[in-house]
This record gives sequence, structure tokens and C-alpha cells, in this order.
Amino acid sequence: MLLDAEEFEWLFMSQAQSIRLTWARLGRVAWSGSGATFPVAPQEPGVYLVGVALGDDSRVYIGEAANLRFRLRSYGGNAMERPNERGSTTANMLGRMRRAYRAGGSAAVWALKLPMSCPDSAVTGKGTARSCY
Amino acid sequence: MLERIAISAAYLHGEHVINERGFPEYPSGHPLQ
Repeated sequence: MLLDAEEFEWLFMSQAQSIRLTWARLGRVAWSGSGATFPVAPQEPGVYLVGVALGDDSRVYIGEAANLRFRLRSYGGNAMERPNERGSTTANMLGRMRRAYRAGGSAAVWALKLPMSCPDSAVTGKGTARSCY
Repeated sequence: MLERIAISAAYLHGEHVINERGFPEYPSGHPLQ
């Protein structure tokens, strides 16, 4: 995984159909020495990918949120050094950033670009369809 | 739904996924886990 890639694509193909998933880079996760700041995302529903790399090794975390900006903002801040716990997604992400950066690693975030229609109700409570990621 | 498609795509492209129940699973104290 290249953390500096502005965009990358994953393609699903069968004999008759294909789906192209395109990821657009939102930016690097900034590390202050004690806490992480995630890049600012649109206030829209969407799917995001957090790539974490250390040397030649990398992992991805993929999540879906009703509001990408709020979700990524919740991953920022200081974290405790403690093992991951099931069901504690936000605390686990905070701890993961701390462990990765303290070990010399880094992280970046991408949002899935997929032309689609989604209900405005996901953001505003109203029911009109609009284009979104 | 889209999240699951994206996770499936990640596996198909050889990425290591750290979502819960991700694969392969590493020790929880691993720097990238």
C-alpha cells in the first residue's frame, strides 16, 4: 500500500459485469508526538479506508459512516497504550495510531468514490435522493 | 453493504485487513494491528 497514492482502484470482474472501486486520498494522519489528527473529510455518508504502514508492512481498516467528517474526527486525539478490544472501534483506532507512529510508521485515509444515489435522510433527516460518495 | 464489498475487494487485492474478524489476525499489541 502506497500511502502517498492520490487515487487507486480495485476492480471486480466477472464474464458479464465489473465493479470498479476508486479510492480518493483525503490525506495523511498527522502525528503530534502524543496524538493523531485525521484529515478533514466531507460531511457526507461514505466508506473510508485507513491505511497504516510500517516499513514494507501495511494494513487497511475499512469503515462506513453516516458522516465521514465526524467519524474521522472521532479517531483523532490522544490514546492509551492498551491492547485492542472487540467492539471498541474508536479506542482501537486511537491506540493503533499511537502504536504505529511510535514504532516509526504512518497512516493515510482514502474515501470511496462510487457514483450512487443516497437518501438525504442519512445526513439531514429529509428524504430526497442526491448524489453522494 | 458497500463496506462489505470494499472489504472483500481488499482481500482480493491481497491487503491485510484489520477490521474486527479481519484476516490475518495479529497480536493486539502489534504496531499495525
